[in-house]
Amino acid sequence: MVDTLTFVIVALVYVALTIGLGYLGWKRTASSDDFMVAGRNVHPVIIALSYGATFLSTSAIVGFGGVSAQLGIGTLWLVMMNILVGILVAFILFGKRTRALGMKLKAVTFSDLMAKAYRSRFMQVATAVVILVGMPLYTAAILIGGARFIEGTLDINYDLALLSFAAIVALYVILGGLIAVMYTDALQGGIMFIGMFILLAFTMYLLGGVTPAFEKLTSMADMVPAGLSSAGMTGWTSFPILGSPLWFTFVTTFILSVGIGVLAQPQLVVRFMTAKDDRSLNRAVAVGGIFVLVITGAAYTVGGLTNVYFHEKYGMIATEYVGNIDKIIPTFVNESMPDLFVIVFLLALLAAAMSTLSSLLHTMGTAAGYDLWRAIKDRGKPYDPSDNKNIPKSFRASQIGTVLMIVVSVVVAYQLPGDIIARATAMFMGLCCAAFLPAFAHCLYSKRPNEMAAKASLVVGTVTWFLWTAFVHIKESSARGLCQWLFGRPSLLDSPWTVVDPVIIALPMSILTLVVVIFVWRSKVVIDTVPENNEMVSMGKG
Amino acid sequence: MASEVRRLFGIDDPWVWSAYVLSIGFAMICAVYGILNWNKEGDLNG
Repeated sequence: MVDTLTFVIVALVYVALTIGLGYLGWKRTASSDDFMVAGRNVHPVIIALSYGATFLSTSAIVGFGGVSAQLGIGTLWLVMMNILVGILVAFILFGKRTRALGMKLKAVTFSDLMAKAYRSRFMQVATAVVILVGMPLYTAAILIGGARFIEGTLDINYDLALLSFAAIVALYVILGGLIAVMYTDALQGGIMFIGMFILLAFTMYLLGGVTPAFEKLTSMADMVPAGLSSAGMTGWTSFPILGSPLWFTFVTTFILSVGIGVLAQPQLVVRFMTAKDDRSLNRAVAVGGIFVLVITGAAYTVGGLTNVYFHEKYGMIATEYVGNIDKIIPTFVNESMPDLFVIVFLLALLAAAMSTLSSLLHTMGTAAGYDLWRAIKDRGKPYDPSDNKNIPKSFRASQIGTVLMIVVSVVVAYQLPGDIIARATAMFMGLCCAAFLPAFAHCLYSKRPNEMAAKASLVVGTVTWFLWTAFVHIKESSARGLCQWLFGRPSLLDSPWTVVDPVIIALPMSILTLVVVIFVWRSKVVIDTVPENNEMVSMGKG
Repeated sequence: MASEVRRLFGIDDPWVWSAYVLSIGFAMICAVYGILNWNKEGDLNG
């Protein structure tokens, strides 16, 4: 337990800085464009840190760090995917086109971008609904991660930790919009970087250096619990047996679902629309790659190595000593690190949770207050993508939407079981990937984006993902009980399908649907994705 | 000797240590890309 007074002083300084940046955001928020896309003029370092800090939250540090402690450091493949797909592919192949298209169409949210690109109100409503249904799960997981660590470190009531944490973040999101979110993200990203770098360095020092630490972990292979061993685990520094249930979980859920899912996350896509030009995105790539390497590389490596620490100290592996995998990293930090570092790490973790939470709240708030509100307001009228007169009015509606969604997320947080952080993250990313990725990529790269194909792809991807989750993927199908109730068995299919992540089935289905419908349904929308001199979108009948 | 070559930082499984190598490699590519294109404006800006 850290000295409470010291922590309170440091935390007050941090909260004061956060509120100061939130105030700065509030002062600079003069229009809805400021509230929603930060005026499209954000500094590249802030874009990179904001993107990284939003992308990587307590889920990455506490959730996946805990998974590494349980299943081993093969999770490093996710670090590789986070850099290759989450930074290089996302910024270079998706980010630049998103920025250009967003500016050309004057889109202010992800749903707005999809709607304007396809000239379809259905796309706006459907993407907003998927966001509002799926995102509270992820938001709740992040709330739990932050609150658990505050509870453990300060020995305060869990309910108080959760509610005060949610209230502080909601305050600056509601008042300062995306400018406040991105400014505070940058501060929080900086704290995360320093905290995780120190955590990695101190852990290596504690365990005798890089090679001795890994050698000790390698030598513990015979301590793998029988249940995991029979599922295919061979040790903490070796990959699971090819084709085993654990291998499928590792590859399909942790590496592919989360690794690819990043490309179509609405809260990250909006970051590209805040860039002034492509130069900003090029510069952000340089900062983003290093940032992701340090944050995730440190979290997953330290997660695995906690087994060495607990084994040397208590003769037990991490899961044996701690129990709940979401508590392994916090317990390790609290027990092994000097007080000062515990405080730095606590701030890093708070920062990670707050940065992602604020972005999710902002995304849900604008989805509810702008996208859905606009659709309801304009119901009965034909969709007009150039009609932006409602944007100013949606400012207040987005603020109300944010308040509403924080309440929903807190309620969901009380319903979720333990050990949920990494799983909830993977579920949300998988859903976004299956529902949005094909249609999103299609509108970025096609001069003639096919509205019908996008609608069909979104519906098929979403429905397939939900069906596979409810009736096949054993972790969810057995927990929800719907499959058992309807069909008298926990899953409709047998192994290995029960451990294949829903996205592995839903994404190809979504892509296939898009391709088939493109060939059978000629598009009538022509969109010039290469903007010229900031002119308005040129759309016409093809 | 062969097993010594295959071991990196005390990790025997190439499926695991190669993930470290690739992660560091791609982070370096990000840095190099960003630096080389620091002032380069894209084609999408007209």
